[in-house]
Amino acid sequence: MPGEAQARLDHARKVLTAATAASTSNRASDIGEEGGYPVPQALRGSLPQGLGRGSVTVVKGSTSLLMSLLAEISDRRVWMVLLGMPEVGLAALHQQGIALPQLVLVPDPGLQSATAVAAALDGFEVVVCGPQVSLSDRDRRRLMGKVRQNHRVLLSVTSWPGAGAEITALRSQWYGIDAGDGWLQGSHLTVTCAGRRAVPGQHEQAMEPWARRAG
Amino acid sequence: MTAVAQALAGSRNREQQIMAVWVPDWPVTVAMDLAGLTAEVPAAVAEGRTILAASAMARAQGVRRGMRRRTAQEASPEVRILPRDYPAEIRGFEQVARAVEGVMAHLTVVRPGLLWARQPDSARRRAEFAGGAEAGLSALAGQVTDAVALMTGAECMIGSAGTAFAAVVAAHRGMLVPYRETAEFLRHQPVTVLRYMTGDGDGRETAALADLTALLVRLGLFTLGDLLGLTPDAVRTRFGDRGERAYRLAGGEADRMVDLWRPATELSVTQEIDPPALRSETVMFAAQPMAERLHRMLLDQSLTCALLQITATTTQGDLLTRCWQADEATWGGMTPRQIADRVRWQLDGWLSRAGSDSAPHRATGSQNADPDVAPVRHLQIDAVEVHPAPTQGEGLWGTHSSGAARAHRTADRLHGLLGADGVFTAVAQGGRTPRDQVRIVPWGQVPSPAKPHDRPWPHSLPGPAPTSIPVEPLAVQIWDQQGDTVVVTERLSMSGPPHHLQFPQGSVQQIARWAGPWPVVERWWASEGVRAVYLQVVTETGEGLLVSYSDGRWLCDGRYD
Repeated sequence: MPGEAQARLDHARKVLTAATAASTSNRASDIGEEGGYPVPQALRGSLPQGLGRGSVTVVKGSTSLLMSLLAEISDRRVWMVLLGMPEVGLAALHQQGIALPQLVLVPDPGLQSATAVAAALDGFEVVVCGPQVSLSDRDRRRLMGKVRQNHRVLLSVTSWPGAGAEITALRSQWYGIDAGDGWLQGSHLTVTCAGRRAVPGQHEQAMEPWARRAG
Repeated sequence: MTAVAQALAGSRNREQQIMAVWVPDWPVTVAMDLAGLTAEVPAAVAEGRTILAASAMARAQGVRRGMRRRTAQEASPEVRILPRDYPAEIRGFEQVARAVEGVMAHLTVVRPGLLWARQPDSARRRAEFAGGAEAGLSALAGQVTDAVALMTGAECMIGSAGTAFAAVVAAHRGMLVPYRETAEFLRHQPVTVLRYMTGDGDGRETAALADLTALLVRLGLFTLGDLLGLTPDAVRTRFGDRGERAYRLAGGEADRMVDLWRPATELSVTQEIDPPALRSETVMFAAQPMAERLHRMLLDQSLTCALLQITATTTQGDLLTRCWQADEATWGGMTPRQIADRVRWQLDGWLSRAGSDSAPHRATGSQNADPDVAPVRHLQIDAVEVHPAPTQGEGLWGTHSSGAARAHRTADRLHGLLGADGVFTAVAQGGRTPRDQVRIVPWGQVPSPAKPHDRPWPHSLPGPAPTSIPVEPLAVQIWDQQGDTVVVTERLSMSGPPHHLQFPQGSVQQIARWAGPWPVVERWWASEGVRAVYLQVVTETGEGLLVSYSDGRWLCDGRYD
């Protein structure tokens, strides 16, 4: 019996989130125009407000996930800067549909990380902090003030205390090849969203960051 | 011309006569002088692989600006291709500026090779009274040409017209146009003259103007008169800010640049140089923060300036002053880097003007040994002709253009902070491996034409590119089920299916699935050619890897995560 109760509870939750998503979808698109940037379809249930301007979002576990978020934003023709990501696959960025002419790369800000991120927040709508950005917690607090004040979107691939949302890829499974045949065509990701901007009680979401390119 | 444009041109066109002095092929003149070549030898200056300027002899043989170095050599086998020496160009042009200064005051250097000055009102009226404007103009032009030839040995072209833009166009045609006929003169010019709109050698702006010109020609607008036939609104909506400015200039309207001679408000920064310095590098140590301070002052008040005036005081009490044109196209006048560059060039020009009377374009020399040049003890940078920056509100089409300007400024700042190899942009191009498919270009450089990416590249790797590409390929071990290293023969047969792999200092991972091998052979005829075999594998954790095999070694070339 407890198993059945659990299943019913899960079903009820699912219906509730679907209803919430449906009722907020109008509002979400409004906010998308005014305040935030849209997120990929699979995450809209968990992050109905999208990537809010003026808040920090942590994106962990998968570069494809980060790229698919950037691709949604890039459709708005905003300028973005990637700091401290010397290894990012630029060809993959291009294939995901991110506009390279509006992209600036700072592969290794080194000791000047805090100054460089602060400067970047002045002029770029979207600032991505990669693994080579070294910041102290004090720097992060200070920069968060700047993100809020300038209404920027800051994405970080490392933990950021006080981040508005944390999107984590738990598992990724690349498909398309087997014992010598085929080629890699995409991946199945399992993603969770947490934090104050995410809808609480959400389960793991499945998404395919490379499906967008095909469709 | 429409009535509106006529009214605009009429109301804004003041009675002034601007004279532009242009030394053709200045880079090549300087380089030939340094190399000790005479004018009969065809010569060209190249920057990288592109020809920047060609001498008259070389041009006669078909060498053109913008050509590839190899094409130029094809056109003229005996052409001497010389390296560019920008500091020497500046130092040499300082001599030209001083020669012109002997005839006309208040001149503005636009770039080495081009300057302009306003013809004094009194002289103009006297000439008109005495025998017509043309006679006065040609007398003055003759004086300038003689002075420049006498003092520097350089031949210059003189153009004169009612606006600075028209004067530059006239200089390229060798024409003297009285200010009353400026509008008529411009109407018959082809739209290609719009490339003279940017005084700076700024590659981005030049490229944007070339695009604009090409677009106008495709639309069937061949002369500036054709452009003026459109309504201002149509120009603004279709061609943006740049088109609007082109429209104003084509109508004979004065740009802000030389429009108001009397400075309304001036912003200036000053700095004592202590101890007084004789080397431009030492002075620049103080000038760099000054440039940033001035830029900040302009930005804070949303101002932009048309001219940058640099004044240095030497220990002997000499006051050295020179005006530089600020590029109108950049918001906020100039970036701190552009300001600092102009100060450095000017200091180079002054501090090395030693022995100028004997050797006009002397590039090197022991500056310290010269008694004429005294150390600089005080430096002042003024923003002249300060006016409100063009208001770029959030336009109907969103924040695109102002966002771009902001992003450019910020990238310039990051560039200043992190140095030349700190900031990059990426350009998509054709290629077979993921590393080749995107090229990285240092910020501020204009990417040269890339390999086309919209054509099929046979044998390129299929599917999505790796999401991470290690800066240096990582060595990796790959074994088959028996524990033997997997090898690939020349005929692309593998010794066995890959079964597990290990990164140095990593644990052994099982290979769940794999695909390949794909050969990628590029330029096999050259020693730097690439000959490798690629393999995609998925490990037990679901992560994908791109590995390559060449010369008996496996390397990890990318990760799919």
